[in-house]
Amino acid sequence: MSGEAELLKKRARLYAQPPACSDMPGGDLIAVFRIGGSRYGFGIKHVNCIKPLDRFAPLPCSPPFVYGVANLRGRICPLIDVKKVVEGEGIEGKARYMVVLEADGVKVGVPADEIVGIFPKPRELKSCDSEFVEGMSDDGTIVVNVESFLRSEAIIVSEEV
Amino acid sequence: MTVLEEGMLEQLLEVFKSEAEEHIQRITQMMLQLEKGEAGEEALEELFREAHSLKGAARAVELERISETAHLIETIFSKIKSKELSLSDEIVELVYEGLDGIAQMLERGEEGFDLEGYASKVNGVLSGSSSEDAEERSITPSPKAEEPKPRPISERMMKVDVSKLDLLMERVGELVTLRVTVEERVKEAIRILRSFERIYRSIDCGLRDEFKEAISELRRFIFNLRADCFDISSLTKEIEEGVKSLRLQPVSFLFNSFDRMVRDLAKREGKKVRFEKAGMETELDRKILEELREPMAHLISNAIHHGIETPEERKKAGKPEEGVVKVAARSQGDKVLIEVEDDGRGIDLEKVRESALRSGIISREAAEEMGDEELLRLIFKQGVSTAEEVTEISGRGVGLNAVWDKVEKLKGSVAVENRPGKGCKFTLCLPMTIVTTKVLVVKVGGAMFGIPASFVERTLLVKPEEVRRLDGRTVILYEDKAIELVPLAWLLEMGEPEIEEEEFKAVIISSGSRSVGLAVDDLMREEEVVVQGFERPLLRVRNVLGAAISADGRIITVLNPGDLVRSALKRRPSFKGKPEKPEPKTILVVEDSVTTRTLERNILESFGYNVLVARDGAEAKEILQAVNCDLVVSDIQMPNVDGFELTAWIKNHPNLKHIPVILVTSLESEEDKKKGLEVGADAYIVKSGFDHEKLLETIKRLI
Repeated sequence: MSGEAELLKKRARLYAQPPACSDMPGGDLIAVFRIGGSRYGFGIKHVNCIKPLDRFAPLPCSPPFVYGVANLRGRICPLIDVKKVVEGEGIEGKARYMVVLEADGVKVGVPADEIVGIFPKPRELKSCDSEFVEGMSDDGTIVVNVESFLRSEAIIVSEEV
Repeated sequence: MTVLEEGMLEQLLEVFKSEAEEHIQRITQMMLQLEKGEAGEEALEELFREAHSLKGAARAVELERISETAHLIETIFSKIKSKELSLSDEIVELVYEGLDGIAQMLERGEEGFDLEGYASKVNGVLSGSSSEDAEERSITPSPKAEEPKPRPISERMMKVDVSKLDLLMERVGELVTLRVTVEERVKEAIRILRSFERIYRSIDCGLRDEFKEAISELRRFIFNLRADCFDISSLTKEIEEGVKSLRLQPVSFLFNSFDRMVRDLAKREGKKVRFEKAGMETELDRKILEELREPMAHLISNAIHHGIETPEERKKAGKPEEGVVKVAARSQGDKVLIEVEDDGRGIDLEKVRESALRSGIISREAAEEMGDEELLRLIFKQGVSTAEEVTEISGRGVGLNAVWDKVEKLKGSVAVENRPGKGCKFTLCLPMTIVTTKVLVVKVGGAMFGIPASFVERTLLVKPEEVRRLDGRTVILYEDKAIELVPLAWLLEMGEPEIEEEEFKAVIISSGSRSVGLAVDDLMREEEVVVQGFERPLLRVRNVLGAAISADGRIITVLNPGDLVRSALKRRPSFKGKPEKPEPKTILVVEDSVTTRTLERNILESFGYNVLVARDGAEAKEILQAVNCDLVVSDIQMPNVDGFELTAWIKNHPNLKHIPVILVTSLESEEDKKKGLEVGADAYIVKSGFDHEKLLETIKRLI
């Protein structure tokens, strides 16, 4: 095998590796979105996809944090307003995107106004007294613990007439 | 011994399992008949053969322990046959124990049963009669045992793996969606063709002829396509119906499986119970049958445990000692009604009241105010039970709640009829098949909602004068009954409904025995959809069953009729009807085609208009001069006097010229439109198929 081929192969192997997040300074990566006047970050391994929020319907008789239900590749996906759950004040008007979060088989869309970007998770987070928020970064990004958010009782809707 | 490939063995085991279940079912059935004295000697022969076949089949798939258990049962039967043993209670129990053992092994694998313990029990009993039985108990088949005659299997029947049917069903579901999409596409193509035709009429250059030819070719192509599409549609429909019917099974499969349970339970409780079954040939989707097993078992055990009294109690109450638990099925349109009825003591509403209070479901004031019917409905709530103590089978207070949930998931409903001292009857109403659901799509506050069509009694146009107030409730009269009327927007918490001054559309829905009218902004269409239930975190949403994706990709929120009825009867909103009483408007429909005429007449009448019809312009003229009409809807092409002529005549008539005229045609043509407006028509409508929305809208605008 020629030296060039060897080099290319080596390089290919290197690129084929998933990015070793934990080894990077700052730890895991988070995807950050603007939701209303706030910034929210979710661990990217829990972000299933980001889609324009075009086809959704409001869901009657549901709590205010339920933004509606959306058509996600032919399946109905609930939309949960994370801002409403965390801050008590919800997103205003129509959101442009839905961020589909997934953990432990639970799949939920979170409406968002703007995609900010992907960043390493800040090492230092100011703690918040919320069961599913890991903390707030220096620039005010609220880092959500997606697993506990999706399993949280706070977003369960189970109501009888 | 041949080593079977793993996949093949797996398949074989599946086949064996269903065969074994059938043998067990038949043995149970015959044993019960023998016990009741309804079968004679020949049944013993059958029993022996069933057990023998079971043994052979088990050995074929190398399930030795099942085979051996079957062998023990077979031996018991052979001894009874040869009169060395009699069919005592002890022996009957022993056979059942063996059958249960086999069922357990089928379910949990061969280690799930103490075969050795069972074998020594059986041998103990047998040795009392004969000593050679011990050696009979071997794995090798007894050469003396006669080969069972194979059961005649009809050559016209074959067994099919259920999972294959399920897969087929799923695919058909997709095909149905696809069919609708293709139909939409063809409509779109026709629309595009129309715009080409319009362009053609307005171009005036050298290419006109070529263009014309290209258009006719396109037209031929599209119309052929449409014809093919119709064929595909009707075929798809047939396939869908066919696959649905493949999955239908008679309820006897379900009902027969309760024989043992009834017998065992009655015995344990020291009660005498006759189990009656009716409507056994009624068919239901097998998935629904499967899902019904648990709720039915619960209702039946409730009937025996809570309902049927002890023989002494019954005697005292002047009833026959033997109680009756009856299950019955019958179809009603595309629904199946299943009843579980007993002639026991009925439900003690006072106990329900106490239990509900104890569990904190209702307050004391509410409890005291509650009527019988409302109390009865409480039994379906979690935590309410009339049982004094918790037993293995029922009385946990979650049972009826689970029954309710299950039936609701199957898009059915539960009704209960209580006759204190005389018995109790639960009626489950279920769809015969599942997969797609027909929903009536209604519009409220700009959003689309689907109401499962099987719950829709009818749709109607309500005029203000038909709305009555009855002790604080708003009602309309429908079939001589006062039906509570509630704006759907209010039930769905979409804000306060506007005060209704004009007529509005309503849907009457019924669930169980109760009906309500829902006022909506508009009735859109009926649509076949696949209703998707919500998943965590949306475990249960009030008034909403799930959502479906419409053929055009939009989301239709599918409402829960049972909840809607409950919500409506809970809240008491009111309408303010307009005091004065406007006369219904009279419309004259002029149309030479009898089909179109009848269709238009029916539609307009259903929206509350008085309708007169004329076959052509000449007849229309006569009617107009004799009767006061508020509006004329006329076709253009007609014999004698056509639409243009009629319009011109009306518009030039001194007494009639104020009457609005709508010209309706099935082909759009700019020239016609221009001509129509020139002669004074107030509107010109191109209508396609059954879409009458535009016509209704225009009529509303003009009068």
